[in-house]
Amino acid sequence: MIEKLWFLIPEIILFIGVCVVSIMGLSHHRTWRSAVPGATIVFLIAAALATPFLYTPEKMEAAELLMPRVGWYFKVIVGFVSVLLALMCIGLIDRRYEAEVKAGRASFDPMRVNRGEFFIFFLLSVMGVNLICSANDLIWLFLALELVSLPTYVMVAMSRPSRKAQEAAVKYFFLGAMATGVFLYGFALLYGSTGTIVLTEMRDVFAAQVAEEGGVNLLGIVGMIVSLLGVAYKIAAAPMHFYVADVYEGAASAVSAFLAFVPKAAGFLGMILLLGTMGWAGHAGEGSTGLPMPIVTTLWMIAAITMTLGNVGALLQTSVKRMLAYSSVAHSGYMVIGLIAGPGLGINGVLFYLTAYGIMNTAAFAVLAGLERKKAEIETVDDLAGLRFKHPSMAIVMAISAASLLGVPPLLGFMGKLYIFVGGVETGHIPLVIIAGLNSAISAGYYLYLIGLPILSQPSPQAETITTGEARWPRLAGVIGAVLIIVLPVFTNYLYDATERSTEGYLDEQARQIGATDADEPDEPPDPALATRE
Amino acid sequence: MLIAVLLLFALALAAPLIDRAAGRWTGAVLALGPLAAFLIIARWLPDVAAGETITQVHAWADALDIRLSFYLDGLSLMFALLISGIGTLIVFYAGTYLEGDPRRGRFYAWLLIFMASMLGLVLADNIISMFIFWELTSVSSYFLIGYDHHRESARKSALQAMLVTGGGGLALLAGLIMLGVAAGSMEVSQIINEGEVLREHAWYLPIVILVFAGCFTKSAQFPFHFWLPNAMEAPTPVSAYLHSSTMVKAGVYLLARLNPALGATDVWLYTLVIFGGVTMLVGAYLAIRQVYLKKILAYSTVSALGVLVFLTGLSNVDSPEAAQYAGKAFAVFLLAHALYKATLFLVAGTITHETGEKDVTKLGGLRRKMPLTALAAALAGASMAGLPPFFGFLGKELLLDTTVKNPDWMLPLTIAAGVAGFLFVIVALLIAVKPFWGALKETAQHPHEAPFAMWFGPALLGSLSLLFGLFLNPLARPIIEPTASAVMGVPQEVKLALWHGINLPLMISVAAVVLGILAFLGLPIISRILKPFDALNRIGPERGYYALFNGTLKLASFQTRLLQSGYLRVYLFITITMSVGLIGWQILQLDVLPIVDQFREIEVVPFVIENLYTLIVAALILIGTFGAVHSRSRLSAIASLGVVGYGVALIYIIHGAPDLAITQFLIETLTVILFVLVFYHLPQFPRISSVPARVRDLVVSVAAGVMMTVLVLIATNLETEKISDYFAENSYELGQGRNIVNVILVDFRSMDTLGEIVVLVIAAVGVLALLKLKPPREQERKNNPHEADGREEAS
Repeated sequence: MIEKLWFLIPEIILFIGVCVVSIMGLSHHRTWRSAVPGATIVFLIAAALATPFLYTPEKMEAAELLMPRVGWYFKVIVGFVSVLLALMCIGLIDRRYEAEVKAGRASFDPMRVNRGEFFIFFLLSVMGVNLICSANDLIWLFLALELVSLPTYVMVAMSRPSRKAQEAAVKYFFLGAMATGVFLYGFALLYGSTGTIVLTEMRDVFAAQVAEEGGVNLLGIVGMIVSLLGVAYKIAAAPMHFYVADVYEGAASAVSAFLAFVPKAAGFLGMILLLGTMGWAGHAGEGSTGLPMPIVTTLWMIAAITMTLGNVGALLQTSVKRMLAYSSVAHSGYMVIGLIAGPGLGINGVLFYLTAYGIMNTAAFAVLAGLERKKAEIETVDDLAGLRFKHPSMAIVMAISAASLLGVPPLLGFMGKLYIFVGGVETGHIPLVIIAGLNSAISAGYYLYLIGLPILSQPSPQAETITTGEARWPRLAGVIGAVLIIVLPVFTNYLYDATERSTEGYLDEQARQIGATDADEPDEPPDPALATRE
Repeated sequence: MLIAVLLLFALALAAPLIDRAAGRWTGAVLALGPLAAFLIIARWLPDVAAGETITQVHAWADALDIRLSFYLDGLSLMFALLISGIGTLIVFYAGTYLEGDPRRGRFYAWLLIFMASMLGLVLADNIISMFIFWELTSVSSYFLIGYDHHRESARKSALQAMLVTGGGGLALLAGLIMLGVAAGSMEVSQIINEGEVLREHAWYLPIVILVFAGCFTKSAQFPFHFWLPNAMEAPTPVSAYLHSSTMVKAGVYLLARLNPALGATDVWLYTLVIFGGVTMLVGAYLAIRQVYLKKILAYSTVSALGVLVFLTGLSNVDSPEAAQYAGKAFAVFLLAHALYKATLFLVAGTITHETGEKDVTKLGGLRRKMPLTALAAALAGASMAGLPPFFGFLGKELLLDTTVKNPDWMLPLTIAAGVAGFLFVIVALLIAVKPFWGALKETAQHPHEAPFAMWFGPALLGSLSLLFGLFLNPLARPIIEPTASAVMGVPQEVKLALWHGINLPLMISVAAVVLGILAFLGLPIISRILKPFDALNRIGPERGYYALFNGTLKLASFQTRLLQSGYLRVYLFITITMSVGLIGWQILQLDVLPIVDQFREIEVVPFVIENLYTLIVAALILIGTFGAVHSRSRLSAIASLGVVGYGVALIYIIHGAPDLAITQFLIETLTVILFVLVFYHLPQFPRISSVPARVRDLVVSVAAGVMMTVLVLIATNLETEKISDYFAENSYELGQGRNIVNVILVDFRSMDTLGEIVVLVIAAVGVLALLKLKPPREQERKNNPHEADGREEAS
């Protein structure tokens, strides 16, 4: 119990943050209330900074987790990107009300302020992602995944005072509830297949099934497929991605950026853990690598459909937010290739890509969050035309982040794509990588707009009326993101090494169990450790 | 070598600042950068001429074998010197050409980024870092071509160039990764020694096709040649640079670079010879059909690229003598073309700059106004036309020598080369003679001799065309020999001479020049004859590009209309359909026979008797479900759903899970109350779906139901230990209680019970909140203008 709590200290820090922020948000003093985002950021940084000190080699060695080290990388990265996201949310909530209170036109009423609550939900959602790192059973995993999503439903509705946002929240919630039901059912089937909910034990049972029956049993396969389909909602992959465009469009830009990163990171980590129970070794016969065949074909189809629908859908959009929403779908498709490819370049590539995607997507949304027209968000592509003349820094940020999303070498996005695609080629999924390549070509059709319009075009008439938002923080987030997109590729080696270290030792156990039984004579009894558990 | 590349990148970042500080000296100051790079590279010339190669390695992304490694041999040295050398003159020239343009600083930034990437491309040893530089040239040229962005056509051309070369680039990346995996190394210096392995490899054909796709798009080979003339929208110094020695030559460079590794097969030989040959002729023909200076030059560039690809292919023929000639011809033609084409582009830029006229038919007699420019043009033109003793003459002679010496296909190839030579003469006359000789024609501006920076570059490059021709062995050989060796993959002994005696190639040359001059004089008549054939252009490959472009957009609009209606019910419908499809398809693939078998063993009467209670409850649940679907009022629908929930709880009781049943009862009760409270606020139940929609929904529901049934059957087919047995055995021993239900609730599952109680309390608080919720009265609304504001804003 104490060991488990030790790794939860970052989450505990975030939870203290939740309590502090909720009190600050209700304070009578305006200074306290306006310090809410700052406090949020302080707690996010504290949790991220605490992580490397907590994940000492001895502690990680002793932890009984499927992926004991992943938190060491993930909590830091998620914490860091969340700081950028929190910067974008500054000045978003209660803006009009606070302005009136300041002007003395309204008196302060604690029932009518939402800022504190918004940032509570923000912190809780990030906390959910962190909790997934320590998940060692299906219940924990389920609760953590839900903790990530539930606050976001409310965040969408709160993010701006418009019916569009409320409609988006309702759609998001209903489809999300359905997806939750789907993966909960899948979890139940997985339990039925293995008789345990503990992930490490599930891994051992699956390994024993492979060793004794030559494959995972039917229920396990079906359960895994159903679970993956449900979790696909979190990563915005087909067939659960239909909410994305409407929801991102309805929510404020800062919240859309949040939705594009935090639940996606949670979903991918959840999928890695789930797939990790089956492992990428020895399912299709002697000496082979890869997941069981039905899982591979399911993921294969999810990847292909997701990236194609995402990219083709984005082509015709006139709203930048919808465009980025579809691009978010497409990027999930690319990352699924990494899941298929498995340990090594595949999984490490997914972890790397999540970081890259978080940064570049946040930078792109930060441009939208940092600019406004008559106090409303800018939305259409035409608004961006000729942005360079009035807001040169934002134009450059938009161009750089779009170029990185497109995968222009040597920017961060290209590096991420390369790891995943090479991982796919090395594990023999060349047709899928070719589909991904064609998709990258299609995606040029809309990313080039986002690169070219702000830099090359003349400003359109409506672009003349664009002003910068009141708070400079969202723009700062964009600039930080753009700088990282250019600078991080130089340190690709270090970042990749970090992902490698965070998955180190992962699945050795499963490979060892299967490998050992493969090498031995088939008549010999299975591993004694397994025999006692049966 | 890293220093040279980084120097240019750093200079690019500083360019806007330098532009502001240095004013009219910007061109001269910035030209020092490429000049320094030129000197750094030229330092290795003696080593490379002696047959050595140089490699330098810097770490980058090791997991992928990506390194910033550099490799210098004859081929990369030749390109690097051309890039930095011509680059110096271009930077110098552009300073004056764009004098007074406020965007000059940005222009320089992109030009220098382009130059640095190009230099990195030809110097890179690692094929992935080479690709990175390759794409950087595409991106930076996108901004250079789109420089005059207020023109729609400039933006369209930039997009076209980017899409065509970018698409090719992706194919190339795939090809290079496969090449690296197949050869077992990502370093060019290793790969070129793995020719044997690669030619035998199963991936050989895909690799070659992908590499061709990348190189042909980049180097504007037929049928991808259309983007290059459109890219003439760029400012002239950029065109001069992109088309003489850089951008478009990148594809040729890569083909020549991989020639030792992938060459010596029929696929390689025939593809390159056929595509190169067709491009050579099509480009030259289209060139003489143009009237704008830059368009003429653009198509002649396409043609010259065709020649280079053609020669790369021919260096793989069986006849060793012809192959040797091809390698030599490649090196000579490459250098000759870079020198004269850069000169002619710059001259064309100067003419337009001074006269404001682009149409060659409206120009004439400029030699008196701008004698130095005329001289430079004459030198370069003579080289292009292939007159002795210019360097271009040698290039053309060697090209003809190659085709004549090659025993296979000698006649068609020689005729093709001869016709290309003939067309080149016409193009040279059009650019170098037409504007300068004859009577002076009136133009929009009054021409003067160009400023120093604008005639210096062309004059220097033009003179080099002559000097290289005059001093072949001392000047040209040290660079030609290692280049030819690198293309062939084996060291070559190269002797260069202008005079080979009177032979067939010389006679063809003479004929080409004579016919060329005659055709030039009669060009107006020839143009009239050829005019009807221009209609053919409209069915050219550019149509294919637009068809693909528009087709993708149509597909996009179709999918958007079909899938993204914005209605939640449609999303639900699609999601469920796709999920059922995916899962169902997988289940069909799996072995589900045992599930069917379990039904065969069932005997109806004993089964019914044994499961009587369950069956009754199941019937209740079914009735409840139908009621929920069919009811007309919300309240009865909720009540029916409640029946379903309680039914499930009863099934828990029958199967020995009383604790679960209690939870289910409580939750169900609460849910029903919540539903009633929430729906109370909603308007009446309207009928929204039509009959066809209902039928569609029925089909989807049935499909989903069938799938769920199958899932349940799979789950129940598995033999598992019943947890109720465990409780029955241990409740007294471990829990000290005889009432199993109590023991389970407060002992075995006490934490669960606690959790359930908490959930209930929270739900009850929610109920309380709902009960207190009243719609705001009119009076309150008036008091709270903010809320009303928010709502209006929303609509």
